[in-house]
Amino acid sequence: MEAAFSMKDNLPLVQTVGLKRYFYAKPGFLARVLTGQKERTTKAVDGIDLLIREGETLGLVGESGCGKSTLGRVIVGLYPPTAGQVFYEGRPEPGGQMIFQNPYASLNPRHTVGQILGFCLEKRGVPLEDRESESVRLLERVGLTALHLDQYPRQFSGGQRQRIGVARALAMQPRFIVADEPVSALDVSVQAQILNLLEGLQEEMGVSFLLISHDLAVVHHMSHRVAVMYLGKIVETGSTESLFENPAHPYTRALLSAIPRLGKTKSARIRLQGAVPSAVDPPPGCRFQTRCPQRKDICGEIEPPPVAVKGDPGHVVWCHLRA
Amino acid sequence: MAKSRKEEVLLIQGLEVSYQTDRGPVRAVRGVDLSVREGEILGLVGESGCGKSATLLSVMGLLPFPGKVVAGSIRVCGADVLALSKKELRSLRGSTVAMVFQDPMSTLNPAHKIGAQMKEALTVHGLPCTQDILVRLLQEVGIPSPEAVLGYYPHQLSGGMQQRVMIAIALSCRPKLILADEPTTALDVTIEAQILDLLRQINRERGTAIVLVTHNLAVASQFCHRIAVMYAGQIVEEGTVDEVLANPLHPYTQGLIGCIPRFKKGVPLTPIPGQVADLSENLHGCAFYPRCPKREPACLKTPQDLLDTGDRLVRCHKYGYLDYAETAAAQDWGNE
Repeated sequence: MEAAFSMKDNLPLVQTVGLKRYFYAKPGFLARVLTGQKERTTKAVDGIDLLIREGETLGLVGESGCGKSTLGRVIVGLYPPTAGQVFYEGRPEPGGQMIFQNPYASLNPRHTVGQILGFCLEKRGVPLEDRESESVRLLERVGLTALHLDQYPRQFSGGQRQRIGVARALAMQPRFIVADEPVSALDVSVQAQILNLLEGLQEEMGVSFLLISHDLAVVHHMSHRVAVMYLGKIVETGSTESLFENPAHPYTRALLSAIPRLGKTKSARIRLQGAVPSAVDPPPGCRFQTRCPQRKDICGEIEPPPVAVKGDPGHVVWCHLRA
Repeated sequence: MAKSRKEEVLLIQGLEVSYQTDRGPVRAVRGVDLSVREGEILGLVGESGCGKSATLLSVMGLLPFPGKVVAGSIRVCGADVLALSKKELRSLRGSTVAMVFQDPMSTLNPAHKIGAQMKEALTVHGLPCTQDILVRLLQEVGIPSPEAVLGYYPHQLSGGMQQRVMIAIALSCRPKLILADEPTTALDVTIEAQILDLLRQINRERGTAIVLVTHNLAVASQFCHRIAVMYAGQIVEEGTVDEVLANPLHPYTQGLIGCIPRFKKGVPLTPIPGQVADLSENLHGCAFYPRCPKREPACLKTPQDLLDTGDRLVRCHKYGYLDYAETAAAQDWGNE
């Protein structure tokens, strides 16, 4: 599928190859001896190949617990991968900056905005005398002013804090930013402010985004391409238009039909039964087989191969029904 | 529930709620009038801090400590909630009006089994609670293998199943009114759809009235018959879902609709500038004034009443003067 992307477009900026991240939970001595519990492996990210080009936004959607945040963290290097490799700007190392979901928890309450930005600028090697002017420039870029430099995070509203989070990510002059649910903690009217800010940054500076969100409306609005994740695997990826108009995977279809849309009258809905199974012991074969309305016997045995979807060269689905 | 005249199950008049804080009183609800009839689903929509939850909690008599109802009246099926004694209030809660909260994880007691928690609601109201009844209640909300679930602790269930248990408890005494405070906000989108389907089915089959508090206009548009949009402790617009969303009259409603991505490429988002009003300050005139794109000095002079436009209630000085059809939100609504 990579070959199809490289037609005339920009160069790949971030690439992951067979990326895996497992978490191991070792039960305590008593639990092992008395109840016979064994070590459990949570396969949060289980073999993912992604490609993000320069100036592009890749939307990553999925339900809670599907591993989308873990994937984002492995890509920027907050977690080391269990297996596989992240390539950033062609080098085999993780990179990029991160904007976190909760602007209340991701800023140190004891540091002023000037200090928060100062640390990043110091790390970037900006000389001391230039740091203040550079901080002001960053703040103004995200819609704040020099007056905010000496204030503490608690003096800001949620939307303003998220702006500080964006400024902090920009301080390192990254070409790639992982935005992990950047607006889900914010009010609707403030969400739109932050989304427009991110879009503006991309237009102006050409940053690439990995936008992690459970809100499909937000992903549709922001992304050039979308990847749908389920239990540690990508089940479908393609351009936003192709994926939303012509979803090929039963999970994508169910997800799209479950979104409440403003003013849309009740159309035929696909209702999934049950909830996402645990990533500790994911089902064999296709991960989605336990909830799939179109399950076949082969789905329980063999992992589905990638299949190209007609109409869009980048649209790929991992499903036996399409093979 | 085939009655010729639908009776009013909830009637709120002039409700004012105030939280006493160190910085002075915070007026969370500033004069709310609402009525819900049997079989109706009313959506209470607004951003955080607009007073929608405080309104619901006052109905149940559950306002947390510094909060107090300072004016107004609340009637549930004719009973004046504010005048009831604690004992009478306790018998009203659960039996006539029940509540479903946002986070089922924190509203179910983690130390008690599901069966015991369901029993409690029934015994408090002196209803029989045999194993069969509990099993049937769980079946009604679509829980697979209910016999086993009765013996589970809450952590053994997924979020969606926990919320179903909460709904089963809320339904156990056959209330006439369910107050649902962001019941799906903590859930994934596929689970959210399941829970909303369930609530809709309960409403249709039993005629139970539902008040749904949500910040999500899209959920409200799919689920409710009528919506009331709240801002800064007041209802700014109220009407049927179709009318309010197709042709919003209040600038705040218009703004909210313009903020929501609409699954259309190239339609820019138009955020509402500024922040939600600070309710600890004395608000003169229109509370939305600092953020309103259509404000005029006159908006600050007098507080605006809710105007009845025939099919709708609107709280805006400028209503009637402007060409409201210009909003992009109104234009593309319904064309999807």
